[in-house]
Amino acid sequence: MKQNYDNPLRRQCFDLVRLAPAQFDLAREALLGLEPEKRLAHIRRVIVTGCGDSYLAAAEAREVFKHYLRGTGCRMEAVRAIEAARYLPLDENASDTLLIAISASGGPARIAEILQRGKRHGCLTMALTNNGASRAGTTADLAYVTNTPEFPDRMPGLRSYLASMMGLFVLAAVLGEVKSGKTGLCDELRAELEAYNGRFAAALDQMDDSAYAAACTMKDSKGFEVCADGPLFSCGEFISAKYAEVSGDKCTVVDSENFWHVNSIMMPQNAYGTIDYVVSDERNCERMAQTISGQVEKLGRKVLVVADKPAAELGVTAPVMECILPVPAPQFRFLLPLYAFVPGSLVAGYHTALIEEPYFRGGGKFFDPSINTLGTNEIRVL
Amino acid sequence: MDKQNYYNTIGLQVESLFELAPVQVEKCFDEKKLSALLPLPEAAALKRLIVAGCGDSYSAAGAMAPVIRRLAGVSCASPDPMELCSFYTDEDILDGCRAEEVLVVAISASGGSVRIVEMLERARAAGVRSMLITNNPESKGAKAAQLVYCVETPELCNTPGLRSYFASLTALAALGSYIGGCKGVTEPAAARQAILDYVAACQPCYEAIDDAMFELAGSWKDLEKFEIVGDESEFFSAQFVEEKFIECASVHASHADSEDWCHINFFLREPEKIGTIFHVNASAPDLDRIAESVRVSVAIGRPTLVVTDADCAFAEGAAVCRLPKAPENAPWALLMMDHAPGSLLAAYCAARAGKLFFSNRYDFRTRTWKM
Repeated sequence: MKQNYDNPLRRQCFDLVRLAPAQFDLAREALLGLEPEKRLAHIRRVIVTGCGDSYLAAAEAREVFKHYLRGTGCRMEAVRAIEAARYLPLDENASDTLLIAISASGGPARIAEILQRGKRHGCLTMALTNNGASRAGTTADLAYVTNTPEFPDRMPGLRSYLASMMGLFVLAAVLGEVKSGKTGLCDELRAELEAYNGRFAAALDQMDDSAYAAACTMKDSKGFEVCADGPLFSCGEFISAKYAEVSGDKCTVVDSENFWHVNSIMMPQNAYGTIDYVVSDERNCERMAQTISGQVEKLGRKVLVVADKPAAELGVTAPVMECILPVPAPQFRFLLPLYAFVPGSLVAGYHTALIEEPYFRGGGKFFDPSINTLGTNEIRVL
Repeated sequence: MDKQNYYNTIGLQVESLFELAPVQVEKCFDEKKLSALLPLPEAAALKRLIVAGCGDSYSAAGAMAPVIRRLAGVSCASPDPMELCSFYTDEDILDGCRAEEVLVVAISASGGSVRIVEMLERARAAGVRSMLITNNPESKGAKAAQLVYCVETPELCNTPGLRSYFASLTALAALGSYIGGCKGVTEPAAARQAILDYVAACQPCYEAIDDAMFELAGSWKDLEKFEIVGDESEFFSAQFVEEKFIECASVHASHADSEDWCHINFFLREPEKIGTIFHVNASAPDLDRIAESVRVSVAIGRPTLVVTDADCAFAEGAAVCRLPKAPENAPWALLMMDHAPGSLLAAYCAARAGKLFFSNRYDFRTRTWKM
């Protein structure tokens, strides 16, 4: 029975209904406290980075920044932490650049390094964090603190992921106002979020049932795979990260084209529990439907389709498990990442409960400070 | 155990690279060919390239994108095929440039896939020029492209793709340095020579590397999960080796960068069952970070291999496959060969485990497909 397999990841997912609008308001309050109209008016380049989930939050914010910065001459790029730290070319005096490093804890060495590097190059640096007193928070010029409400289940990161994304979404809207001179963008975003949150809330029980059923069906999978295209690819990477953290299972992520060039060859062909993401009105829908059908018909895989419509309406010709995920209208489609990761995360959480695996392998050597040196590895500022 | 009994089409292709390199360089760094495709004023006016492909070609695009940026002095994006075809808007393609300043380059040896044609048509719809890098100038892709840059790779087995990957890397280096030459920021002859010199430098150590990978496959052949780790360009040479592991041994394989590997992949269950390979460029600005990630991999119990041209020590317990050092003025030349050890290992793992390639459908001994 599903109730017997309630788990921390699931509880975090269910809290998102309450958290999302609250986090928006907290982020806006925090950001306005940093005087963006004064501090950010000169910014023309926004670089956003982070480690692990935090990088994915940055990647998922690309579309919202594009939306609000269109026509302003200001651009945003999401960059992997190691690239921001050591590879990304930065001008000697990049004073028109806002460099944002995301870290809920504010602890990783790489995050501190990135912020120090940004300062060395004359960037305006910002830590997007839940811990203003952390190394990141105190290194950056600006500490944009999410003030995420406490919750009994903090690990693995999921609410913090939403908080990071929300912080970025609010920043995008506020920066859009600052750069364009328009007003009301943030209010409009808040209203759209409220509406979408309501639709998400109404669908959550169905998602939960679907996820539990899928987890039961896929329980004996050799491994997992998420197939997703475009902006949903980063959602796939987040789900993959949750599998690694909670159940310790390997979960690959692949787009619907490269699936057939490479990943479909993995053996046994039917051994990989597969989660496919698709939105019916997007241009890849036909290719995804073909891929999904082939995964079942040619490879014999067990497949969960996460989509805004039943699989048959997408053109899928094979029997699949289904999870309906409401999606925003096209002009606000950039809100989708705020919740898209929930179905896959629910599956990962149930799977872990079913196989009775401790999160993060129960600690032990995985948290031995001589082995896990995320906070202590050497900083070199280039 | 006689290595010859496990001779396979990856080994055959890697061996052939030493003979292929001068031919491929000649066919690609052909100024007449390139200037006919992109006359100097047009090449000099370029500000943005989008380079894309499927499978191995996507890996080649990603590996060479940073190199093109440096050689050609242009911005260079390498989206995955679905991102380019279904999600890139005209705004994304242009990215603030005028249409004549942008070139979309699709890579496909065969030129035949639907997605490749779609990439080229996407470019046309956005009003920008399109180029196909291919070995088949008669393909559907070639007909869809405005410009066809034929690599003229001599015939030889290419299953799984490896010679074609090498050809794509060479073509992209040639294209990037040609554009850079037209802009006056690069000397194409230097890039050309770097490839020739580096591949030639690798030839004397090939046999020892092949022996080492065969040996390592003895203990790795029963592993069913693999991770290949690399940063920047090596993130994509790691992806290529991931592809070879899947194609040869049909295992569950993926790639990651050295920082995020420590944050996420590090936590996978049963680390002793996950073969982990690090691609390390001696000139990498994060050599220290990668070396630390190698140490962590060994400490957590992963079977670990480092493929590198660096001469520094790595954590005890890691197997190290050393390639000759890439030239100081062209550290990217490592990419021409750093895929070889991992590919050899992938093939030997499959062969020693009694598997055929491609889900047991391709007999690498007879070079035939089982129906």
